[in-house]
Amino acid sequence: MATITLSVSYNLRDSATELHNFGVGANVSRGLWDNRDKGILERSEKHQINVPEWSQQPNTGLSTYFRRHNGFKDQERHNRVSRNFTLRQGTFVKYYATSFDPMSDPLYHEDNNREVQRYFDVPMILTFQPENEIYNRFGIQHLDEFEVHVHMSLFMELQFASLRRAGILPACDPNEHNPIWSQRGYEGFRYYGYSAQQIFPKAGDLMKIEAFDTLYEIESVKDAAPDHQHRWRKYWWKLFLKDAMDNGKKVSTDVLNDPEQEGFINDLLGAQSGSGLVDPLGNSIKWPFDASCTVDQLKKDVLFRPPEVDKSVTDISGDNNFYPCYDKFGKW
Amino acid sequence: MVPYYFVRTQEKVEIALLDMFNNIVVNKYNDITRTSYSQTIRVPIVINQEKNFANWFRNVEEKKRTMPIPIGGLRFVSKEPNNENRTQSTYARQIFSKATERWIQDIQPTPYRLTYELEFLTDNLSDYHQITENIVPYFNTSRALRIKEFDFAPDIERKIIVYLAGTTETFEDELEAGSKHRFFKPKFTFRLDVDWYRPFEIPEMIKYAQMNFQIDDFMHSQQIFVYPDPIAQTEKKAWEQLSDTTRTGYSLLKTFSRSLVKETNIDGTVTWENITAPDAVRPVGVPSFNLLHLDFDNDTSHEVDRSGFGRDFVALNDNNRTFISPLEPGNGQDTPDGYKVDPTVKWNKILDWFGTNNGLNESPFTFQSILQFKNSPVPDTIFQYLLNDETTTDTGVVIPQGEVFFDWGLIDSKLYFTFKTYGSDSLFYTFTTKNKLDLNNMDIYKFVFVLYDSGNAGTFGYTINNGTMIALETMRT
Repeated sequence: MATITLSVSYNLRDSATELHNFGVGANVSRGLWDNRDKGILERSEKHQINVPEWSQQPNTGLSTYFRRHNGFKDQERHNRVSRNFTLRQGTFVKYYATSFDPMSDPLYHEDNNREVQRYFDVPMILTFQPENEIYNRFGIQHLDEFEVHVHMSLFMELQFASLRRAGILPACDPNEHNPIWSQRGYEGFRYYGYSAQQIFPKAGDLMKIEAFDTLYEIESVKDAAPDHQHRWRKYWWKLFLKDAMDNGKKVSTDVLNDPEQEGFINDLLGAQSGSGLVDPLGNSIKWPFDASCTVDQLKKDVLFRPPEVDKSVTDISGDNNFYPCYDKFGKW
Repeated sequence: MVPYYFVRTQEKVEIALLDMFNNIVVNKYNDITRTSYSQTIRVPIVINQEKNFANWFRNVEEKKRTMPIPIGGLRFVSKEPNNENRTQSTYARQIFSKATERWIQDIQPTPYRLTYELEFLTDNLSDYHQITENIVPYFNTSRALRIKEFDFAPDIERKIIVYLAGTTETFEDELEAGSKHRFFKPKFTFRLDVDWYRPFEIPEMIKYAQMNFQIDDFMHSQQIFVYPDPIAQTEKKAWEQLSDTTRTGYSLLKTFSRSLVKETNIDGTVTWENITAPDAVRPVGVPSFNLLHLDFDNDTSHEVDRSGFGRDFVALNDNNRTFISPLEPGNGQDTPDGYKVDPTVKWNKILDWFGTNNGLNESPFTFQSILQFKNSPVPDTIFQYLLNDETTTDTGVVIPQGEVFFDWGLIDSKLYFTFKTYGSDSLFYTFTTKNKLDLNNMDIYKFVFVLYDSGNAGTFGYTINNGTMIALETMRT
């Protein structure tokens, strides 16, 4: 039987859609191009990018000085240039977003049950300074005080994606999008429905800078960087970092198991539950400078065992009868 | 200076002090009434004195470890003499350690007042309140650490008073832009009354040798102890000798150990028979052997007072280094071959020595007579005797005449000691040496009898011309 072989091929690439750019290597995200129902801002954005302000105007012989200037175009251009500069030149940072609910304690407005909830990568512009450490107080203490600059639009893009991946719903209507918060206040800020509290970087969030095996914590976030403002709009956050402390934050299993973060944070928080180290006396070291286990061991030879404490008691000072004035507090 | 000496005085105090604040926990409450919490966190505690102790940590760790918070740090600040609690320069204390069954005599301790700071780092008010509330109410204004005074006597307690001298709060809670942690730092200042000790050695053997001297058919063994000089002086018994060593600061304390007599059997084999009373040199089971010395010195017309105190009776209480008021039972009425009691003898004192009203002899005694015989010793003579007149005790009990007595001397050329007490547990024993003594009127003898074990046991010994004390096998009849 004769066999006919038909050779079929097809180009699976997407249909060629023209993606304009204005020549500095910046890309315009697809969403912005496809989203046609937004306001004047986005549409003028596209136009501005395709017809940049600084392109050579036709020489009409007329002065353009009195032409009404569209400042939004400059702002958007600045935003995109700086965003892409960050993508291109920024330092890779592992970012650990934490929960924060200051209303959980209506008295002190503290949140002592924070959790490292999500992890994502974000490039940032770093200042570099040599590490300084000091050893004379509570063991080792890092004096590293990094200041990093985070591009707002870029950060919120990546944070938005992370929130969506984690299935965290926006606090407001997803149709509300009002991201230029520096001009419109915190209350009106929306990023596709996500509130500022959800999507901003905040004190307590943790990060690991690519080059250093140190977990840093954001101590404060500042947007007042006049040098980096452009046409009354802010583009950068300045984050003040310090080495992180193990202050009872919990880490979600999603983060622990996230292969992208390579287990970096897994043994840095909750170290009181074990570090895998063993001291010369054979005790498991919770934290290398913690003397607790050693004291529990050494006190057996040091403490006096009063007759009131039964001989079967191993923790002498833990017995109610050990301290002679115990009854002053417990039995009156 | 004395040899290297380290008993970890301050280290032990710090361990006990750390233990007092060890294993503090804070709860991470998640409700306003502070009843439910998500986790309990142990507050580690460190000593934050060193500057470079963390270097090893930085070198061995792959990544920098996060510092736990809250955390407590103990810091030694200073020490100053605690002069108001200083003892007299002649202070000496004797304590009996039941755990080791021996007496310990220490010397002047050096009281100092140590100051420590205990500071906590917290980053929220909840932790801050929990920690301070766990500490402050317990000091009003002091508590006591309870540690062992000495390693070698675990049953002797030293209480170390810990004063909470003051608290200081530091709040670094201004939320200004910058890289500062938010800290609430309560700091507690503690003052501790601590006693230090310079080196002293409890009276125990640090070196020991036994030397055997064979003289004809007798083998005398001598034990030699090496003591530091001051201890050797205090340890030396009347029948022991001190001599120099090749090392400055130490003395040899020599004491008689045993005597063997050679016996040649019919078949020619040689055996040595031990003729020493067991444990005679240092009677065992007499823990307070040194507590009370009674030195009986018998003046006769041909014998001088050898007591050195110008009196016939000397009673020394080692506890307070005082002499019991003069008791003069000697120099009394004529008694054949012996002595008689002066009418001024206070029999209550005798009763006190011989125990309480039930007749038990509660304290051990050492009786001593130093004498020289005027003529050839007769087989039977009395060195001393005392007996009571009819006496009414403080409790109204009437003791008839002669119911409480002792006397000792020679009987059948053996040393003997007889005593009797009065009461429900009265004792009436006679102790004699097993063998006869060959005495003469040329030598000066010092006879010693030690009565111990509540009066149920005794041991004789004697020296010749202040020589080595010879213990004699003693029997009770």
